[in-house]
Amino acid sequence: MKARTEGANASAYAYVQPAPGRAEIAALVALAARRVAPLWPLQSAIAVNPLSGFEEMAFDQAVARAAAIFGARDSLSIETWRNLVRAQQIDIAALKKVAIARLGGLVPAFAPIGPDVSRLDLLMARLMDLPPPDQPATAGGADPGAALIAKWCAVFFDQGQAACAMPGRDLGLYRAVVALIGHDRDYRRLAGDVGQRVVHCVPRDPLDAIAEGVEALKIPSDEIEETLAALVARLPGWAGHIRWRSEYAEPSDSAGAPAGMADLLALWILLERAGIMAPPPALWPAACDPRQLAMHFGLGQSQCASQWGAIEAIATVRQSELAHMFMVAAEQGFRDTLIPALTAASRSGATQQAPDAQLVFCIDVRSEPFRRALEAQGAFETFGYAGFFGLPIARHRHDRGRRQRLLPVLLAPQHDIAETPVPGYDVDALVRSEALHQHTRGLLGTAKHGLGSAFATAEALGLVAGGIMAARTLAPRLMQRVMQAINPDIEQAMAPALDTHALHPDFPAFTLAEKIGYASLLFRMTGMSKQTARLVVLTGHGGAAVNNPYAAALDCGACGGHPGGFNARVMAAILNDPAVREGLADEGLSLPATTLFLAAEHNTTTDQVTVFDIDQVPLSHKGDLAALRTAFDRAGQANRTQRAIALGRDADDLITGSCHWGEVRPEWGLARNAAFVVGPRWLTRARDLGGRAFLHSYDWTTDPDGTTLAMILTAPMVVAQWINCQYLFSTIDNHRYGSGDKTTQNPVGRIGVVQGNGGDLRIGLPRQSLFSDDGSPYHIPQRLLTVVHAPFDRVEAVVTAHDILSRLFGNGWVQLVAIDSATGDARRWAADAECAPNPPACQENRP
Amino acid sequence: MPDAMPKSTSARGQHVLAAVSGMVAVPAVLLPWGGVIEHSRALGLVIGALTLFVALIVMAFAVRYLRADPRGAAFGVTLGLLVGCVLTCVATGSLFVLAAAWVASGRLLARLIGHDTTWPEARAAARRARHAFAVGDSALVAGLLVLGLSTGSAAISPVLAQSATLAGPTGAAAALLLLIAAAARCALPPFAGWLASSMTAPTPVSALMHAGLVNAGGFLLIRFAPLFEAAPLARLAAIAAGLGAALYGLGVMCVRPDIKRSLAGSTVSQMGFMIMSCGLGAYGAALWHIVAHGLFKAWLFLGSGSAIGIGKTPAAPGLTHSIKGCAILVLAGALVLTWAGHMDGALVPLLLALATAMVTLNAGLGTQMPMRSRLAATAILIVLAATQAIGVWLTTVAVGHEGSMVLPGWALDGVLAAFLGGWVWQAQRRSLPRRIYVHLLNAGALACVGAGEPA
Repeated sequence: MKARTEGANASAYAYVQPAPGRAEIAALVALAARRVAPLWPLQSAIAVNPLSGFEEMAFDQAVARAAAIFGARDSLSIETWRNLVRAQQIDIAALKKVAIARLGGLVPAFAPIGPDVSRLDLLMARLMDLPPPDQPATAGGADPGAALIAKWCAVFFDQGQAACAMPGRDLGLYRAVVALIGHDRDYRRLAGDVGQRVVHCVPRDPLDAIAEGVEALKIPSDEIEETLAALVARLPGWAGHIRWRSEYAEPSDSAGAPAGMADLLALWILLERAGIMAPPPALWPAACDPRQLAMHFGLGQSQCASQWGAIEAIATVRQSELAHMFMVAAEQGFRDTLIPALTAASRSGATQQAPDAQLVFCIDVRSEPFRRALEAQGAFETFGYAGFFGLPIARHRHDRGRRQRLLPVLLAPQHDIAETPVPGYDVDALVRSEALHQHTRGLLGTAKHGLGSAFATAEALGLVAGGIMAARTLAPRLMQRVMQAINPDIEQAMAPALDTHALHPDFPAFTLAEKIGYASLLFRMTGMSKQTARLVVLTGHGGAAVNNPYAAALDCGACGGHPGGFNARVMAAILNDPAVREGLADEGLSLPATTLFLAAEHNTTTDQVTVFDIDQVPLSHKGDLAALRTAFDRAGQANRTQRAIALGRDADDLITGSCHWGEVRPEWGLARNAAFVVGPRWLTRARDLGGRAFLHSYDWTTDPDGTTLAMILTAPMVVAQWINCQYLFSTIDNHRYGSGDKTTQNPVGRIGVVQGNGGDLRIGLPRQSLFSDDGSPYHIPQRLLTVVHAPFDRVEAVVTAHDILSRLFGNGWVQLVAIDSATGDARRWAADAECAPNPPACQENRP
Repeated sequence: MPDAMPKSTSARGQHVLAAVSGMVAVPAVLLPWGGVIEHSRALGLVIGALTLFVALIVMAFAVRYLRADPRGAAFGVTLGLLVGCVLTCVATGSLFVLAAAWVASGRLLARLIGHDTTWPEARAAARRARHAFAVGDSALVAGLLVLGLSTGSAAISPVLAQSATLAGPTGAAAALLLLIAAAARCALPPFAGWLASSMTAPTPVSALMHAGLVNAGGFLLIRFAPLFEAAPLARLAAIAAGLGAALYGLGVMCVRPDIKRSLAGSTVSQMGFMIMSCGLGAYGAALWHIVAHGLFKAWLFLGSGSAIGIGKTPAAPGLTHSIKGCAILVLAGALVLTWAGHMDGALVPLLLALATAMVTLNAGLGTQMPMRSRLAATAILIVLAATQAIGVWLTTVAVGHEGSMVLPGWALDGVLAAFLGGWVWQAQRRSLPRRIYVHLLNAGALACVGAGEPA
């Protein structure tokens, strides 16, 4: 336990290598920090790949390595996979194909082992039948050190939950904790007197503390980076939060409480020096006994002897490899049904029909079923575009101090947009009600914590609380209507102010040139033609959930985990600006004067669509709008009915769930996401993609040099890959890569959740977002399949020109299939592992 | 897939049915034994109604919330039995049945805390609860035995009738034993740990626990009020334990960065205040506190998922001064009352409520808000204050007896001054001494937190 305790002779130790200096340590800390992914506060939840620090490696190696480091599973259990096959979620024929490929082809796979037993039978038996596939793993030991640091991180990073903040926060995480930890009985119990001595003598600067600790612990200089990275990985949640704070947060979020990864590592080093060690890692089962396999087929002594090598080879296939085969089977089965449909559509080509209205939706997988339902209602043409509509903006809400970043986290906001009252709304009432709210909240908050007032507050509010509780539980929709009647609709009453910069009132938020630029980008990226319909509706999306820490995870990821309506309104305002129209015309995009752009927001939980600024629609377009809104209602009803089946509830209950405070699964979110299709809508329109595909509109004919394709693949597709990986890993190990059961979660510091009484800040998604009520995975863990409709050579040129793409496709994090626009043939980009040593040249033809 | 819906709905229906039958069955089986209490029936009615109301809400909430819980059926059954036990406790007229239902409710509650049996932390939390209850339950059984043996009756009403005549040490011992039982169930220190580490229970369980189960301690003290009236030592102990818990729990509430354990700290504090009120003889105020706090806390727990969103709650402006002024005013009033010989234990909670009303009214009136908002805020506050006044009056009538003086007037002023002084200190945003901060932060920490996850 105390192997690394500072010995009495530590000072007498003579070093062969020079001790690393501060700058060197700082560089090593920065490298170690990359071991974990940044973690956004749940208020603006962003999907990230928990293994983003491993993307330099091939997928299966990365998963195995991360599993060892994070103490996580590397796949679903074999039993869970088998159940998915039995439930026909995975095609058994696809699994057989994968097994045959694993055995080296048809001939070796069908080579007989005994009477009517082939090697394939043996392998399939291991995949599907042989008990016990998952021995109970030896769980990792307790990690009291992690619990200790997690506790201190929780108080330090608290954003306003505790009435009484941690003393000394302004000193920084490390110094603040060092000042208190000597009084901590958990620390005393774990570290004893050594701990007290260490606390007194460690340097107060985190980098110095790490440098000194590295020496004292005698860590060889070539192991420092790995040691630090392993320490970072022991609390991926809080370490991820630190990454968010240092790389993505507003400066105001960390004001008065500075902390970097060095602080966290200095604390870990302190614990190591005090002798608090890491627990033994969890061990997962590996393989099975060859004799068991032979017995399963009743193979006699003689056959066993002659074929022992073959039997042993199959018996020793690791469990993790078996699990990987299931995943590959799921991917292949999906690919083999999707690609032929798309190639067939590609060969038959587009069918032109003048639309009554055009709608631009987010690429989100939840748009696809709604678009399909809407297209069935009339002559509507739909497009897929990143839901922030290409606008790198931040919103300054009139009622919040903090600006909202409404753009993908890969970008930085370029425009700060304020809000202005919409004519016709009672702004005074709005301000009044807002002031009363603020005041009541403040008063209640203060009264609840006051030593003199806490008791009377509970007594005075008891009956009111009882009434609210009953209403929210038994009549949530009535309650919601009452609340809406009391509170004015702020979203409709305030519109984005494009002509004033939120921070510098003398400047506009956009220059005309910028507006024209964003407007023409929309046409370039989606391939929308300049012959626009009378109505073009930019449709953002957001989820609806109450009392749900993960509510923001249902919102638009492209809008930084917020609803997308605001961006849609800004974009519509830009496109309706006559000066912008003139500018577009100068670029050769002269839109019909009859075209009106509108903004709307698709509520993905209830499938209701809110159209913004209806009062400003001119008389000439009222009829078009009325028809469209009828279509919205019908499409919403149809899609809700479909989604209700997958949720195991009735359609009306989805609306109740969206406002019920006990609803843990208002909708399935992006679960089951599997594909990212880049191409025109006519390619996919005939096919029901089951809400599993991100759809990005793209017309290769308008993109001669491939720049648009490069933008699509390097930005929205990367975001889709993050989402895909978040769902994948949260599913395969919901405790390490996901956030576990929602019902025992405990919101902490207003930024995230812990499980039960404490522990690490939880990353990933909760169990209810991924698993059905019966415990089977609803989300099938499989890697993203990107399909691009463009000439082969252009796709290849784009991929090879961008490191991130050759890495993602080459390392097998994403699969790429290109459908040649001329011939309709499909080709799959082979991962590096499949075709070393000449990766790019090797492409496999598929029918 | 399509047939999953009716199946799961009917499965949930079964859970509710199982829970309801548990609620009915336990009293139906146990109550015939020794019948229902004849003494102060309103107490049982009030607490029974509160428990049933919260249980109904929690069940309705849980039908949705625990939809994906593999142990949903066990949850329904345990919850039903638990509520049945509480109802039996408050209604029974027999010492035996009271003890049996009390002990059973503790065991069932511990089971709900360890609801996720595959989770080491949940098992540890359940174990801790069982240990605390074992101490409390032994004290209860011993206390009831003393009462039964010394009065020669196994029914509660005769025991209560005779308790005033119980001679010194016997009565004091019985009362102290009952106080220990109450303290264990109310999670007063040194028993606070079980409640503070019970967040392994699903949210609805916490709501029911904080609204319905912890109150049992207060019920016990009010039920056996005649015994406590005759045992001033036990009442002094109740005041001391309650005051300590009120301060300690509030401290825990203020330092915890997570919502659920912060609420647990608050419950410890509120239970301390309630037990203190019982000790002071303010039984009516204590009963109203049980009801109102139960509803209040259940509401906060069920709504705990909303505690996400960066940004401190804005402090109400000018509150510091108004707290100081009001505290001095109320304390001066108390001193005048003492001087006039009218100071009474039941006045302590009332005077604190008065101070709260004054401060909040002041904050409602004296702001920069538009006149209409100020008037609205004031009207709301007046309605709330009136609700509380009427509530306390009703429960006082229901309990039917007020306690005698156990502390002299100046000591009551001291208790009041402790709360008001602490409040003023708090309002000036002084930070806690480091040692105390760390101690409060660690309240109820389990040694194995973060040790493992549910399998």
